[in-house]
Amino acid sequence: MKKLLAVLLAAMMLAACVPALADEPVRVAWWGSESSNKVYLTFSDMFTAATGIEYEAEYLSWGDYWTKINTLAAANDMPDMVRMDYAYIKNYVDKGLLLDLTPLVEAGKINLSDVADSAISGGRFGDGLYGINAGSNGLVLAVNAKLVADAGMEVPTNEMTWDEYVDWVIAYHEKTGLLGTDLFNLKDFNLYRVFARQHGEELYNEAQDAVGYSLETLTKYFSDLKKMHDAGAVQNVADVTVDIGKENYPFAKAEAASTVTVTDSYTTYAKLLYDSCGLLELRIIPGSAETKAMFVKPSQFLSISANAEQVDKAAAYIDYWTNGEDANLYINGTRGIPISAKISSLVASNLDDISALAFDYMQVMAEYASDLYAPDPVAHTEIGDEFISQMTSVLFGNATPEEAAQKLIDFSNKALNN
Amino acid sequence: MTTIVKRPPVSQAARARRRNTNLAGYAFILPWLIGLIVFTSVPMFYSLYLSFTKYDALGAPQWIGVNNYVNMVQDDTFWKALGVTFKYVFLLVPLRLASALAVALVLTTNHKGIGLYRTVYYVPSLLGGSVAIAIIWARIFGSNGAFNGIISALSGTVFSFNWVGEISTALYSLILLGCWHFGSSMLIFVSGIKQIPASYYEAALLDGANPWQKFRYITLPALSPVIFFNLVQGIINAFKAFSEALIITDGGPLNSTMLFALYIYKQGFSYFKMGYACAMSWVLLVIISIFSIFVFKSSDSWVHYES
Repeated sequence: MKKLLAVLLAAMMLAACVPALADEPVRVAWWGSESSNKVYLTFSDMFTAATGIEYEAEYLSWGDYWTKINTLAAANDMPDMVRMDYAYIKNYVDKGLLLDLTPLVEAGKINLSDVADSAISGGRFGDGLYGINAGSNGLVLAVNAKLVADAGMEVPTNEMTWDEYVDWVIAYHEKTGLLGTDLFNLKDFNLYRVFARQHGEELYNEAQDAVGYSLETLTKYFSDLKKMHDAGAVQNVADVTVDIGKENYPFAKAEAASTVTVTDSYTTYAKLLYDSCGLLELRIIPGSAETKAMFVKPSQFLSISANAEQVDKAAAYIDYWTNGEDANLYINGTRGIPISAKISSLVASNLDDISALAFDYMQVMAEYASDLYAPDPVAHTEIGDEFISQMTSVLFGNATPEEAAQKLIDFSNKALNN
Repeated sequence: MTTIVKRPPVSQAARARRRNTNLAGYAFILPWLIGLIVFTSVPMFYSLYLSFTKYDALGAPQWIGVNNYVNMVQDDTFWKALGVTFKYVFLLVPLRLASALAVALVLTTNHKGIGLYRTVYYVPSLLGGSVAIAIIWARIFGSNGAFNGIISALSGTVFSFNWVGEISTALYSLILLGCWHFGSSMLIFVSGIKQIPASYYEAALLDGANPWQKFRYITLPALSPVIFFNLVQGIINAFKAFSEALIITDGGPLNSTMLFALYIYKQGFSYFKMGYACAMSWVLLVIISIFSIFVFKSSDSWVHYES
C-alpha cells in the first residue's frame, strides 16, 4: 500500500514538474465586449501568423476579468501578458506582480524607437516601466446629428457650458418626445469626475484620504440629473436597473439625441447608427472648454506578469501590438491612437470615416485637456457603486440631491480611511 | 435458518490481511477523500481563518481579530441584505414548493406524451440565471414589456410600470423567476408520488373519498418525507441564491435586490475585502444551520415515515 501511495505521489509530482516546453503558447489575457474580443482574437491570429508564436487567450467581461486576474495573482499563476487598466496597475506594481519591462526595451525585444517618451510615461512607476500604453482614449459627447437636425436644433459646440447642455437636452425632448441623452451612460462616475474638474476639483484629495470635491459641486450635479430626469428628457430611472447591453441602449437605437461615452465605445454606436443616421458628431463634455477639464487617458496597458514563464514571447506580443503594421491597419485606431508616431501616421492615412472622426476628436480634445488624475485608490470601486446608489435614490425621489451628496461624501471618507 | 459459527481465534496473519482490506478500501475512496480535504475542508477552514483577517487577495492576510464581525453590525447594507434575503426565502420557498407539487401532481396523471411535458417543465431549471434570461425578464417585466401589455389589454388602459426596475417590485420579479425554476423539486415530487401504493387510493375510492380528501389524507402524508427533503433543500438554496440577482438587477435599484450571497460576492470580488466576505459567509452558514436544525426538529410532528 505504501508503495502504491509513493508511486502515485511521485507520478503527481512529476506531472507538476514537467519543464515548460519551448513551443508552449504564450498566455495572453484581456477584458472586452463581444466586439472587442473579436478584434483581439483576430489581432492574436495575425500575431501568430507573423511570428509563428502560438497563443492561448483568456478573456472576460470587465468585472469578471479583475476577479479572475486577482485570483490568478494570488495563486501565482497570472497569464504571461495581461492587460492592465489605469485604475488597477499601481496596486499590481506595488505588490510586485508585474515585470519591469526596461531590460526588454533595452534589448530591443519591445521596440519603442518610434514612441515619444510622454506616450509611455503613464506606465512608469519609480524607476521601472511596468506597462506599455496600448493607445489613448477619453470621454466624449456623441451626438446624433441627424436626429438633432430633424428637430430643427443645433448640435452643441465644444464651447457649450454644462448648464446650456442640460437645457438643450430638455429642449430636445420637449420638441420631439425622444430622449435628449441616455441615462445608461449618463450615470457614469467618470462623467462626474469631469464635472468636478470643471469646478477645479478632483474625485479624491492628494492624500486620497477624503473626497476632493465640495458638497455644493455634487449637489449641483445630482440636481441637474434630476432636472433632466423629471422633465422626461432621459429614460425613467427604473428602466436602467437592468443593463440590457450597449447595443440596446436608446442612443444605439436612435431614440436619444446624444450620449456620453468613451472614444473606444463610440465606434460601437457609430457602426450601429451609420446606415440610418450617417456619421455622429463628437464634442467634448459640455462645460469643459474654459477649465480644460478633459483628460487623455491610456486606454489600457500591456504588461507582463512577474511570474511569467514566456517572457520573450509576451514581449514579442507587446512589440507586435505597438509596431505591427498590418495589425494596426486592421485595428484601425479603434483601441485608441497608436503610441508609435510611425504607426499612427500610417493608420491615420488609411482610416475609414468612423475611425477618422475619433482620431480627429482625440486631437481636438487634447487642447481642452489638463493633467491626468492620479490613479484611483483601492476603495474607488466601492465608492463608485455607492455613487450609483445615491444618484438612483435622488432620481427615485427618495432623497434630495443635498442629502444624497452628503451621504456619498460621508461614505467615501469612511471607505478611504478603512 | 441460521447457524452459529464460533469465531476461531484471529491469527497474526489474518489480522494483517484484514488491515490490508481496510487499506484497499481507503485506497478506493482516496480520490474522493483527497477531493474532500483539498477542495472542501481546507478552503472552508482557511476561510474561517481569513474571516479574522484583512485580506485583499493580492497581499498577505493581516490578523485583525473580530473586527470584520464588528464592522458588520455597523454596515447598513449588511442589514439591508439580510432583510432582503429573509423576505426572498420566506416567499420563494413555499411558493416554489407549491408550484413544484402542483405541476408534479398534474404530471403524474396518465396522459399521452407526459414524459415530454416532464422534460419541458424541467428546462427553465437548466437555463438558470443566464444573461439571456436577464434580458427576457427585463423585456417581459419592463415598462413596455409583455406583462404590461397583458394588463393594458385586460384593463383597457395604457399601463406602464417597470416591475423589475422599481424599488417596490424588483425583488418580487426575482422571486417569480425563482418559482419558475421548480424543475428539480418537481422531478423529486414526481418520483415520490409514483411510489405511493395504488391500493391506498383504491381503498379511499371504495370509502367514497373525494379528490381533495385523497390528496389531503393520502398524498400529503405519504409524500411528507419528500416534502421535507425538498423543503430543506429549498431553504438552503434560497439562502444561497445569487446568480439571478447578479445578472438581472445587480442588487439594484437601491439595494432592493441585494441578496446576501450577492453582497458577499461584491465585498469579496469587487471590493477585494476577502476577509470581510469570509466573515459574512460564516454568518450565512450559521443562519442556514439554524433554519435547517429548526426544520429537522419540527419534522417529528409532520413527517410520516412508512415503517
